[in-house]
Amino acid sequence: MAEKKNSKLSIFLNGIIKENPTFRLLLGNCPSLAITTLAKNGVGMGAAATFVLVGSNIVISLIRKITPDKVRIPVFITVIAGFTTIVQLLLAAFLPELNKQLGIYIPLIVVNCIIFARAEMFAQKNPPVDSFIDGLGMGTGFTIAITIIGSVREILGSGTWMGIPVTVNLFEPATFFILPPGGFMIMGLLIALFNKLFSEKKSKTAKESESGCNGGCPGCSKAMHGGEAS
Amino acid sequence: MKELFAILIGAMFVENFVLSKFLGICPFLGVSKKTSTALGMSGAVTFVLVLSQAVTWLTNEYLLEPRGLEYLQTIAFILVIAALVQFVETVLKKMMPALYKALGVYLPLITTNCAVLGSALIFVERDYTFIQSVVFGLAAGLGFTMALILFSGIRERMEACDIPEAFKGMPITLIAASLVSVTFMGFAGLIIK
Amino acid sequence: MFKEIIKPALILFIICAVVTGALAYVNGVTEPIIAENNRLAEQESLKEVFPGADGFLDAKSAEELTAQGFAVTERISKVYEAQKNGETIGYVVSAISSGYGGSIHLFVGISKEASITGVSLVSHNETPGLGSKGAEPAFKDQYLGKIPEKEFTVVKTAAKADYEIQAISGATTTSKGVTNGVKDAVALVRSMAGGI
Repeated sequence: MAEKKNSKLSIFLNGIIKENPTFRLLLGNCPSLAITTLAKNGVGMGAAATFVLVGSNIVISLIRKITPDKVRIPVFITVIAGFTTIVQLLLAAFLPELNKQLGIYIPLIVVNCIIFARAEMFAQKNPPVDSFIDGLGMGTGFTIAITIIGSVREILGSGTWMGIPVTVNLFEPATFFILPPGGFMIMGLLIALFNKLFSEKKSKTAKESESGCNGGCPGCSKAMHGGEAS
Repeated sequence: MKELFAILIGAMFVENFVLSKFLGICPFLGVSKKTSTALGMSGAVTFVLVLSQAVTWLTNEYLLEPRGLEYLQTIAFILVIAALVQFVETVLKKMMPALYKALGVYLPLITTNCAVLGSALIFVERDYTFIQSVVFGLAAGLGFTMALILFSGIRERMEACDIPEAFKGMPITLIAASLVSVTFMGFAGLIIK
Repeated sequence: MFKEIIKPALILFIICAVVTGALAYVNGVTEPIIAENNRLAEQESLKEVFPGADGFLDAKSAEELTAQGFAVTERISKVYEAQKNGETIGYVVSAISSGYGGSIHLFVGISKEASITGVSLVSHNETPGLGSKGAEPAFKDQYLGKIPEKEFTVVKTAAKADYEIQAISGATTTSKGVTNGVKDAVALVRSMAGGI
């Protein structure tokens, strides 16, 4: 019993540190760079993506035994797109401000590599409860990561945090950080920091991540290759 | 005609998809190590972009909008794109097997390329006509190509440099991208009268 | 044959159908809420530039106005009639002009006497910290209450005449973009209010 509990917890924690999607697996970069001009955008986007991730993980896991291998990929796409659209509609109806801030990056959740990768690597092979936890862990890891990026950029670039003035009255913030180049730079520095802090014996990890999309993107596209018996 | 030109230049330089809108980052950071793969990849992406703009526009105009089914745009567009990529893959395999092999796993990746779906969402947002959407897609692809090729040159140079351990791989790439992005900001004031 | 092709296709189709059904349901529930949100947001934006009005009529498009022979330029998108107690007391013009980072979408509130009641930047892509200052009162309040005898012009030093608008330092293009939109809006309302 204790063992089972441990492993559920470890599935959850996996997504937060060891395999953090943003800082480790290097997935889902598009929104990580685009909307992180404000910390609260990070929270909003993270929550929306987590909703889609958890939802699609559960459903894909539930139907994994009846999904024919041949049409696996279109099924994933349909389910993920379905949840993405639901999030789109819910946000437009109940959180229009956030919806405006996040713009086209909400529908773009459907092509967020993280969700696809988890569907392929985990949900397709594991029971629903575990898939739910994995989705939650990855989603939380993603949310934490992009909120950190957003916070750094917001504090440096606007002098506020979550809209609360922090340094803006002390000195002029450097607009650079909320512009695209700033986004690239902050993310690069944060990943380097994450590597430094959490990379024990990993000169290996650094080499792997040179491909940029590591086990993530090429992994899931390799699957697409095999899946579509061509 | 002039406005098509403005769209072309705009999407290529002023709002360059990769360096300014952050669309198409994954392949940009992943593939851009060698100029030859960069060229092949961006060619494939541009081709898919133009085709997908055309097909998604038609789908939206004749299937979705007349029936008030705009909420199905996300799912319809992505399925169209997935089908198109599959089609391109099959064609390449038969007709240009060398290129097919060179692109390898990056070909199916085009489906999850933010730039492709992103372009479709943008033409909906801006209410472009058919021609405008296709030109926009072409411009996005060309901009993507430009950024990729530029960057692969930089990365080839970086190979020879001594990089601190924590920075190896993604971090230094992102910082390099940041600098290239700054140069592209110089285009921001470009106004086509 | 069945197992190979038909079964997978059928299952895919069923899954698609279920998903589409779920979406149709969610859409049905949220559609009215979204429409209401949009309407409220629009009303709010209109009131912001014409606080004296208590209601606005549905907008007339640029085409309709051109057909009526009014001074429509390519920057004009549509016009709402601002009303108080059922009477038209002015207009809110929706204009789109080019700024530094793309298009600037403006709402310009103008009374029937062609004096400006308010300007707001509904959406824009101007540089944060520079051109974005165009959306701040320090800049856009310059237009308030004016009925200039000549067209608005942007100047870099302090404005000396009614029709001069001082540019945002370091953001001349944005300043010109906003001014161009306001200028066209004024010209249009003048022609609509009977050529004053």
